[in-house]
Amino acid sequence: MLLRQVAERQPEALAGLYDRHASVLLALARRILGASGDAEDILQEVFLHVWNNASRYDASRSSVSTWLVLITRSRAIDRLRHRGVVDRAHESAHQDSGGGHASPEAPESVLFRERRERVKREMENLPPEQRQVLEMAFYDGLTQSEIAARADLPLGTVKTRILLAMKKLRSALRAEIRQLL
Amino acid sequence: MSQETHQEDPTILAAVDSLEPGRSPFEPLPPGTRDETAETLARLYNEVLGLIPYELDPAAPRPEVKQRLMTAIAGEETQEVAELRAAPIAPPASIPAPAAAPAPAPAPVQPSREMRTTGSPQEVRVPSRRPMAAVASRRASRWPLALAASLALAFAGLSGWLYLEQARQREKIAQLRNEIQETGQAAAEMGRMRDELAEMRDKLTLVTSPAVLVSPMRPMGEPPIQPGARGTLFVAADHQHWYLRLEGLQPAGEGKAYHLWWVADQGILSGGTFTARPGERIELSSATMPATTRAAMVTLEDEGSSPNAPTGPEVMRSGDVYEVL
Repeated sequence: MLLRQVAERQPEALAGLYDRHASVLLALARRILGASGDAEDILQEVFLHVWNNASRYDASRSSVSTWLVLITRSRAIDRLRHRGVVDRAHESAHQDSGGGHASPEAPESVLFRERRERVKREMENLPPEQRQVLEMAFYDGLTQSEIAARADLPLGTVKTRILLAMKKLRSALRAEIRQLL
Repeated sequence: MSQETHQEDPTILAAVDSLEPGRSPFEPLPPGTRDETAETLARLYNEVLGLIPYELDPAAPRPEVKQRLMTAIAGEETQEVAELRAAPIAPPASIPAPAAAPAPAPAPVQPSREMRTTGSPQEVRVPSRRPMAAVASRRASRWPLALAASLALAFAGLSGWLYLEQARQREKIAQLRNEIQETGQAAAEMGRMRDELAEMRDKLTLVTSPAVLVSPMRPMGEPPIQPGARGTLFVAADHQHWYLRLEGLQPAGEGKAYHLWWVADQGILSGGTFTARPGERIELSSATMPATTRAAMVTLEDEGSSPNAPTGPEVMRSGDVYEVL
């Protein structure tokens, strides 16, 4: 409903959408880019994109949350590649994700907190080799061939690990997916 | 890994491939996979990807980020407000300040940084600084003029401040009015949304339950009697609960009805009749299904015909059944 109001050019609706999702999207952008300044730029770009393209959102393809996450990820990866310092940013991103945020803790709704705890637990439950390839694809924006080269694995092994990880997550996160649908 | 689960592998890999630079997770599905089952699966795996960043600790953006965003989208409105705020600063240019200050003193007309931020009448006077000795020598003769100029400046500053305050109040009133309107709309829609959500959850419990059996329904006949018809049959792990979704079926016509049948080891058993309306999706569900059911089919029957066996042409039939884990 918020997105429909955004499409109708209601700024309060965009503010509501921002309040609800910004903390997760910024965490994602920081995980990819490391530097918080760039990450906040991406966050702003994403919501400007939403403001201008809300009417193009297709509810049959994804939830609003997923739509926002995938736009943020895509823009952050583009920025990362544009920088041409993938490795350096990658390292700093990993350092950032370990804690030490400069900003105060984000206020979370109970729903989001439960979702975070559940997703975190299920990601941790993945075998390390499956989690690694999934994270390389998702956070580092690497193609499966690039992952294979970087991890020194056959391409088939990379595909199998990704498939297994995705199936496990889909099965383990049924309740969360249902909330999104 | 079973052969059935292999069938969803291309959908998963397509979802992951869509993460690659220059691709979009919302691209059309690959040719040959465009059926409702594949679309449902693609949607589910998109949602899996969308959940991944929830593992991260949330990061609160600085308040300025939101302010910048809201300013950017405010566009022309924001510019107008900015101009209004700047307006009270201008009065020195239109006030006979030069009467109090010597001729080469146009500089005070320019607003200082402090004036721009606070706009208080006292600060408006700041620019009229000049050598004290000169002022003292002329004070006796010009003090009424200086007093008038000061009062005029103070008055202009006060007017500007009031004008600005009024603009702020108007903005606040408009904002509150929007909030009231939004709350009203939200309350009206909330009930409807809640009902829809409950209904969707019931259906999707099947779709997202563990080990659900899924089978696409395809048009039958050579050529197909209903070429635009398509659908999906979901069967829960207990092999009892089922949910059938059909689209594109044309109305059966006068004196005719569609009939759902279960193809089981013990024969073909009736699943009941249903009607189709133009452009409407058909959704059927039940908590019972004959044991050993292997497939489902839809036939076009005369109204009142025997419910024991199909007599009319077969319109649709379920295809390959596979298990979604």
